Amino acid sequence: MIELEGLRKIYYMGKIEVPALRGIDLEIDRGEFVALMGPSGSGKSTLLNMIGLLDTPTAGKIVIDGVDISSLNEDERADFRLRKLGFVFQFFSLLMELKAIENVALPMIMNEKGYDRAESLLELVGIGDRALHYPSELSGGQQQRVAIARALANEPAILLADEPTANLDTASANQILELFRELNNRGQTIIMVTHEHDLGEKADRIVKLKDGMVMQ
Amino acid sequence: MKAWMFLAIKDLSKRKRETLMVILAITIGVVGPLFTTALNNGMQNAFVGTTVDVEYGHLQIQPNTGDTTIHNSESVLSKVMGIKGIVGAAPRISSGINIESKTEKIGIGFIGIKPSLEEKASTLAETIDRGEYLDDKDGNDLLIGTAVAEILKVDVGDTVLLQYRDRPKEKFRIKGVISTGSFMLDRYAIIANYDTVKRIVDEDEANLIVIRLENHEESKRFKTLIQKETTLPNVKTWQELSAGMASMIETFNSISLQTSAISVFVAAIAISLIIYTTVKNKTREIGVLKAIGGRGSMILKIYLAEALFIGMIGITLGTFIGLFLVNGMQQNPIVTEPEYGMKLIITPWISMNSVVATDLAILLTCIIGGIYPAIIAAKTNIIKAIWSG
Repeated sequence: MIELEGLRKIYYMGKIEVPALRGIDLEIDRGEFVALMGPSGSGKSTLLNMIGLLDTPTAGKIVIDGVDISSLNEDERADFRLRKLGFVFQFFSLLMELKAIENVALPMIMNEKGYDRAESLLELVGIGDRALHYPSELSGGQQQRVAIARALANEPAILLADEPTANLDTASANQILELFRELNNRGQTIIMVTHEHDLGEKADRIVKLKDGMVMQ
Repeated sequence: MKAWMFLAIKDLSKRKRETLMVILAITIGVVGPLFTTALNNGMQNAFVGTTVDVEYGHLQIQPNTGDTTIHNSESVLSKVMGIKGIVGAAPRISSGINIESKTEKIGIGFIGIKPSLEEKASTLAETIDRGEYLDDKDGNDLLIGTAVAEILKVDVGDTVLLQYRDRPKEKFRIKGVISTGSFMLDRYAIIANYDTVKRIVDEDEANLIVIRLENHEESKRFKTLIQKETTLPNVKTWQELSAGMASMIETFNSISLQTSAISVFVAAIAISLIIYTTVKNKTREIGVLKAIGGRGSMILKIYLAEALFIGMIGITLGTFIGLFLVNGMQQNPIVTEPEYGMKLIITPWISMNSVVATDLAILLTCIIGGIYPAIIAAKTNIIKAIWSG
């Protein structure tokens, strides 16, 4: 489902080259729950950004669902993110002026589809009773659940999560992981970046990165 | 509903206070130019319009160069009155004379008119402040301006003495007091019947023929027509006659233009600032929107729609308030008294074209003001935005 071939990413700080990814080859199958792990600066978030089409590689190839991403222009990349990918970020990335249900409905509105599913998605992540609350009226764990429901809005092929529990207490973090597990059991492909070993072990597979390369 | 529209509405409704303040700024930005334009129009009307309608006429036939009177003025008058599109034409005869009341004595212009013809050629008959307008059969009866009345301390029904050069003084009765808004007629002249003036000043012919047109905008065309018909070269349009006021009008226009420019500038800055501040405060949210699939064009539309929405509400409010104020002042015009008892009535007015032009200028300003921050938002780098404060 996801094929990465010779993926490289170099950042420039002035004239100094800072390699973030040094040739990644990786395949992820449909329905897998993969944890990208590694120390700080290992390139795990960079790799997730590449898979999520948030950033472009310096070299190499990314194929998702049979589509060579390098062939897409800016608008096609945006459309691909909208229809094929779901994002959960480390911070609680909700739009503050929208209620929980409106945040979940937003990708459906952007996709010009009906947003009837928004309510059931909130039920699915366990906060159906908070649908009409603004993010500022929700706890961190609840906000992250809304973000997960939003990520699932357009039935994405892949759910990408960048340190989704980093800003949560242990209980909330475990609940989010349980939710991911449950979604994966229903067939959802999930790629999660984490530096916490306990959380990583709940995934089907751990891909360890170090200095921009896959360790195993 | 489109996502950009949904997000623009949500964003604006969440920031009610800021939105209302910018709407207020735009409203003021619209009221300013509308009101100053209307006031400017009113002042031009008061100075130029009044003078043209009452004193100059739309066209004037003046004596040939070197002459003091128009030869065969009666024949010229009848030729002119035969031209289609001319509402009226009236001869005037004028000279200088001394006028004396019980307490005061001054030198003044002495104008003779044919009242019934003058009624069709100018609006003099409509400027009676008190007393009555002249009649064709009147003899030693006078119309005097409000300022003259005040200087001489006389009023309707009083008697004054007129003396032309060293001739014997003649008694005249003040039949009416006029308030024309023209300095010449209110302050520096008195008016009597044509034949009376002709008799006193010993002139055979008119010094001037005043002409009124159906459409004053056609003055240039009629000038040529009259020149051809009468073979008299000295035909002047009201534009030529009021050229002396051009600098004053220019000053009014300049003030009006500057006020409008400041208003438009304020509107642009207000819109630009609010959208720019919003974009800066929402960098992370814009990044998230793009990350979840929002195109740059969608982000651009959100902030342009906000600028447009704020602009349109402000413009609508400003137009209503501006027109309301102008209407209010039309009901209660500004009355100034520049000299003695002379009254200048300034009635602001504005054409629908000016209203539309002002509104479109401000609307364009709002779009221009909103476009820069909207482009910044649309071009936001996703990764940088997501990781920003």
